[in-house]
Amino acid sequence: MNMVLKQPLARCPGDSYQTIIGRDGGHVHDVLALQSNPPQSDADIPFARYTSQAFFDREMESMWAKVWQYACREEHVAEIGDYYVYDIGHHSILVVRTANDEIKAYHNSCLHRGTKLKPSCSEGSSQNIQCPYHGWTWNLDGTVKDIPQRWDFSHLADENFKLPEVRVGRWNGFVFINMDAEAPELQEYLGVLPDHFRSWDMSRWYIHLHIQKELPANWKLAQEAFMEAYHTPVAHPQMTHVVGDVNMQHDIFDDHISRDLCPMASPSPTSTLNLSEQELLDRMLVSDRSVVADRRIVPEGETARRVMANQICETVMEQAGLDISSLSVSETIDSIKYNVFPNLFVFPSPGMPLIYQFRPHGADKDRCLFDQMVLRPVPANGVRPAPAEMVRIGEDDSYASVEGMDDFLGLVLDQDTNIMRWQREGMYASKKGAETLSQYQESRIRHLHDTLDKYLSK
Amino acid sequence: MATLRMIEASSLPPSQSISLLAGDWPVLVCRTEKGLRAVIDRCSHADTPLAGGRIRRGRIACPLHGAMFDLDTGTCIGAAYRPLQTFPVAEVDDWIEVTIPDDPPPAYLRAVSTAR
Repeated sequence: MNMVLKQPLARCPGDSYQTIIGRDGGHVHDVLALQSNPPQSDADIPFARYTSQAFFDREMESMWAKVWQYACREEHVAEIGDYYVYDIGHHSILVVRTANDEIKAYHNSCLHRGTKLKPSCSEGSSQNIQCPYHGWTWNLDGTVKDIPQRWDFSHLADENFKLPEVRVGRWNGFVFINMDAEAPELQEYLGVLPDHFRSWDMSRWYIHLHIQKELPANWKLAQEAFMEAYHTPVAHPQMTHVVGDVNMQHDIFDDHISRDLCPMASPSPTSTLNLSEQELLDRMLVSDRSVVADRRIVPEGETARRVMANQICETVMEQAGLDISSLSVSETIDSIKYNVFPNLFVFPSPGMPLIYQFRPHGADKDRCLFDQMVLRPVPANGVRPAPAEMVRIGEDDSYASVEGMDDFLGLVLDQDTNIMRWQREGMYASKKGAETLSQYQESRIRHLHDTLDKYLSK
Repeated sequence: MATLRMIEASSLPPSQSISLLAGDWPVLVCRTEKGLRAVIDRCSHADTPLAGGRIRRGRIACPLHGAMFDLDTGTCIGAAYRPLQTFPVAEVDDWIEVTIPDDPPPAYLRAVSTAR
């Protein structure tokens, strides 16, 4: 039996996230004021959950085939006939815009002899769906359009050969799919998320940069590096002077939704530099420096956080005519990172608008794909730019090799990549055979495993 | 080489293409972010017209099976199909002009595949 802790857990000494955002002045967004970290077990987590092929296969069958998962953004399939192929393990899903306000998804496999109807990792546009092998063709709505040499198939009826559908759900510009006909609706699955995102309209943003990196680790191992900042002072010491880490807030709201809140322009309690507000602002890490490129001066009595918030607010207004002045400082600049089980991270703040997604690389338990998307607001003229083309980089390629990538963020991510490889190898080399998690900072890693277990035991 | 005046420039909006017969050559004129481009209107994958394919970032994706080509060079991207033949194209006096070879097009261009 796992022991469940009864006492309230300790928190990092020093300024908490709530203290820091209270000091910003002005209102504190009610959603950011929430704190929720329910009691959990403290048992070790076996490495077999990362290294065993049998466990990976169970995840594929009992979890990936049953959950809502992000497939693409609506702008990827903007016009009727546009399609986007999303792959997970051996599954391949063809997402198609079938009408102005309708997106459908199909299993990407021909009903004749199984050929993928569209190649993996591809996107494009076609007014019907034709298999490249013998030319079996479907209308966008999945009904049969043509079976060449129909005389040779008198044993089949068109109405029995509609493309099998995969469920589609949409929220805030995101297109989700679910292969399980019995699963609850997307809105139910997303729990508190739609309510929390009342003031962050992600449909006003588009994908400006999309990097897909092959990572040398199990998908959970890789994404867990993004669910705690306990490692930051050691693995990314350069960050500690400008952003929070061990004082981050970790919240768990329901089975599928957790988040962390990390203050920007606010040194970690572990920082040994005593930077001035001006130095903080100058060194500030943002997702893309080209958004806020000019140097600003922090006036006497002001803070780097407030100056940064003003600057982002002005830039977004200038670039996109988007008024975000009603957002608080923390809502505007902080790293607000929501995790949607199993593998999606959405960062809604205009100062750090990102989407992360992790998933197995094919059926390889030891490798995964990490999609990182940097968002920009849709320009003021309302013409939505085409989403950035995905740039794929290999395990040994630096993030810095991608044009448009922020150098500082690229370095941090390269540091993470090596650690992932060493952790994967160390899990196999381990005598102990299990990981011991911290109670608070790594609570969301445990939550990921707890929710995963609920699917595996169904 | 012969330069032929084809259509009024204003009749081709951004990110659109139009299929034209220049002499006997089936040519697809595309308006990309970088300007006009002209390629043979026949995909080197399944030998079908490219007209109607989505044009983004200087590339066209074949509407039938998704083969993708760089419109500057005709090179196929992400697959090993033959490059598309390209043609000089220009906007002159608000008209689109295409330059074609003196030779007649090869016979295979006269038959359109029955796929589609």
